[in-house]
Amino acid sequence: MSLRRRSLGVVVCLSLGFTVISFRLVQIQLLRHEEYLLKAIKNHCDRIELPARRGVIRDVNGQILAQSQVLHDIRVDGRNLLHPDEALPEMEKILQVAPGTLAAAFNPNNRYQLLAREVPEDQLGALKDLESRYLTEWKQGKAKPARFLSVEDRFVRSYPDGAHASHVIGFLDANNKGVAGVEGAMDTFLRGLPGEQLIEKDVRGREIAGYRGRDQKPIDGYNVDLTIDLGVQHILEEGLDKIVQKFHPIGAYAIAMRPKTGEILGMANRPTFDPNDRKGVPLVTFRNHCLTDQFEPGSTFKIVTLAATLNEHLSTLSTPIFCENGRFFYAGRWLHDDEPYGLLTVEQVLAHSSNIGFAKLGLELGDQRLYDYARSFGFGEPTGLLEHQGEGSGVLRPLARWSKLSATRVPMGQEVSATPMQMAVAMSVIANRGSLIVPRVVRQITDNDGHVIKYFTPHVVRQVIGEDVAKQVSKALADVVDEGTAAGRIDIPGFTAAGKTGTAQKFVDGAYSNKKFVASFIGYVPEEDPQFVLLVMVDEPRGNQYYGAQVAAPAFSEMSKQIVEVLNLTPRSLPAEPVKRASL
Amino acid sequence: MSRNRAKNTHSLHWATVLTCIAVVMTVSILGASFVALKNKVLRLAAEVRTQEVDLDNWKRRNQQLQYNINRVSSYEELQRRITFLNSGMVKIGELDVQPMDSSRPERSAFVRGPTP
Repeated sequence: MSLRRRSLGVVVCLSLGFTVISFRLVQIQLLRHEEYLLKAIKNHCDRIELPARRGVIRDVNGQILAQSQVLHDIRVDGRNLLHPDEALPEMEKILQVAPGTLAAAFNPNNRYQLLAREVPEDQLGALKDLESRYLTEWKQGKAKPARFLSVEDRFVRSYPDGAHASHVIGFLDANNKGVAGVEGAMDTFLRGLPGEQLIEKDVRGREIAGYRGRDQKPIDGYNVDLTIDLGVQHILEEGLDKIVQKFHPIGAYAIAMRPKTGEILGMANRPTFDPNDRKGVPLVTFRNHCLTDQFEPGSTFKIVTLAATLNEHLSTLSTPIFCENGRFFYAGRWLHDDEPYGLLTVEQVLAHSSNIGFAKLGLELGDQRLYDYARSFGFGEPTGLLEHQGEGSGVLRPLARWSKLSATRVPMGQEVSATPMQMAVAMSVIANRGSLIVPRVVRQITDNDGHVIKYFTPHVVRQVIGEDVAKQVSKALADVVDEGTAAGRIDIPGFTAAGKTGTAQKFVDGAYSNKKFVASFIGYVPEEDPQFVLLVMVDEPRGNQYYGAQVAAPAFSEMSKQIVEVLNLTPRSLPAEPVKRASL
Repeated sequence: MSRNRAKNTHSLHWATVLTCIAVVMTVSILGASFVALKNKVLRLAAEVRTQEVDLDNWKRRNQQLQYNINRVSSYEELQRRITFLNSGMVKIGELDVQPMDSSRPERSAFVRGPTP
C-alpha cells in the first residue's frame, strides 16, 4: 500500500472518529442540552438559604423582652462515619441522651440522618472537636475519611421574662412568623431578609468556593424598642396576682399609661401565659383582653358626662342637683342610687357617684351632645395601639338606635361598652388637660448599629374639652379620692391622686345581673401634674366584695405607691406626719 | 536541480521559525498564567471561605454569649436569685430618712481642728 493510500486511510479514520465525537457533542450540547444541564446542576450546584436573625424586642430601658437563640440540627452521613460503634457512644455522652439511643437509630446507608435537634452551641463545639479527632485518627490508619457531621442552624425565639407582658410582646407560630402582640404587629420589621448562596460542589460534596455563583448575605431584622417599663410591668403583674388570689375573678386587667405622650408603661392580663411554653394553654388566654374585650364601663364613664356638661357651660361644679332621695322615675322605669341623696352639688354628685344626678346631667345635655362627646373621648372606635390584634371598637350605638331611656343610662355608663384601653385613653384626656392622645406601645425601631429607622412620635388627635374644664374635672376626681367613693382607699404618701371608681353590672341573658359585676378604678398620679394613668379592672370578683372601691381601688393604691418609686417621681406634697429630727 | 537551487528550496526560513516560536511561547505563557491565576483565585476563594466560616463561628459564639447575658440579667431571673439568696435587704422609703441635727458642728470642723 502506497504512502498516499495509507495517509488517506488515516485521514478517513480520523474524520470518522471526529464525526462521531462531533455528533455526540451536538447531541449533548444541543439536542439534549436541557436534560444534561439539569443533571449537572443537580449534581454540582446547590442553593443554601441563610436565615436572617430576628430582631430583639426591648423595654424602654433596653432590657431584652424577646430574643432569638441559634440552635443546631445535627445530621450524620452514614457512609462517612467509618466506626460508628466507637463514635456514636461518645456522641451520646455529649448530647446527654441515653446510651444506645443513637446506635439503635443509626443507618449506615443513610447519608442525611438526623442525629439531634436544637443542639446548643457548647454541645455543637464538642461534637465538632470529636469529628476532627476521629478524622485525624482515621487518616493515620491510611483510610480516606471525609466529614460525617453536617449542621443546620435554626433560630428559636425565647422570652427571658416569661409571662411578663406576654400579651403585649406576643409570640411566633411554627414558621417563625409573628402572630400576636408586637411580634405580630411589627413582624415586617423584626423578621429581616434571608440571604442565599448558589454554590458548586466537588465530587465529595464540598463547596468549590471559587465558583460561588450568588452570595447574598442575610439582613438581620430590626430591633423594636417599646414604651413598656419592665419595672412598672412587674408591679402590675404582681398587683394582679394579689387580686386573683384574693377575689378569684374570671379576669383582671391593668394598664399604666403616660397621659402626656400616650406611652403605655405596662399592660397586664389575668389569666396569662408564658410564651416560652404555650402547650396546653387555652386559646382564649392568648387574647389581649385589654384590647379585645368590651365591658360596660359603669361609673367610670361619668367623667365623660361631667366633662361634656362643664364644657358646654350647662353647669359648674357648684351647681346644685336634686338627687330625688335615691329614686327617680323616668320613661317608665325607676332609677336607683345606692344611697338616698337629696340636694348635691355637681362635684358631690361625682364624688358619691350618684346615678340619678348623672341621669339628670345627661338629660340636660341631650342625646346629640352626649353622643358627640362620647365619640370625641374615643368611644366607638379602636385606639389603634397595635395592628392585627383584633382590637375592639366598643359599642356606642348610633343616635337613631337610642331609646328615650338612653339619655339617662348612657351618662352613667350603661348601654355603652368599651375596652379597658379605651377607658384608660378617656381618663388620659382629663389627665392630659383635655387633649386626646393616641396610645402607643412601640417607641422606635432601630437597626443593629443603633441607628433609628423609625420613631413613633406622640400624636394628639384632638382637643376634646377646654384645659380649664379638664382641670375642674380633675379637681372633682381628686374629691372622689379624698371624700367620695374611694375615700380612705387610696394612700400614696407624698402624692395626690385623682380617679373614679366603677362597678358595672354585667348584662346576662338580656338583663343586668345582680351577681356578676365588673369592678374598676381608673385614676392618675399626681393630680396636679399627672405622670401616669392607671386602670385596674376586675371581671366578676367572687365573694362579698365587688365594688370598684373595695376591689380595684386598693390595688390601684398599692400599685401607684410602687410606680412612683420606679418612675422616680418627686413628691410634691409632704406626708401628714411631721419629720422627726435625729442627731448622731 | 542545481545545488544552489536545492539549497534555496530546503533551507530554513529563520524569520518564520522565530515567529512560530514567539507565537507558541506567547500562547504558552498566556496559558500558564491563566492556569496559575485561576489556581490562585481558587486558593484565595477557599481561604476566604475558611475565614468566613471562622467569622460566622465567632459571631455565633458572640450571639450565644449575648443571649446568655440577657437571660441571666432578666428581671425574672434576678428576682428568682434574690428570693433564693434571701439577701435580707429591707426596703426603706425615701421619706422616712431622718435629717441630722443641724446644731452639731460640721464634720469638716473636727477634721481641721480648732482655728487659732
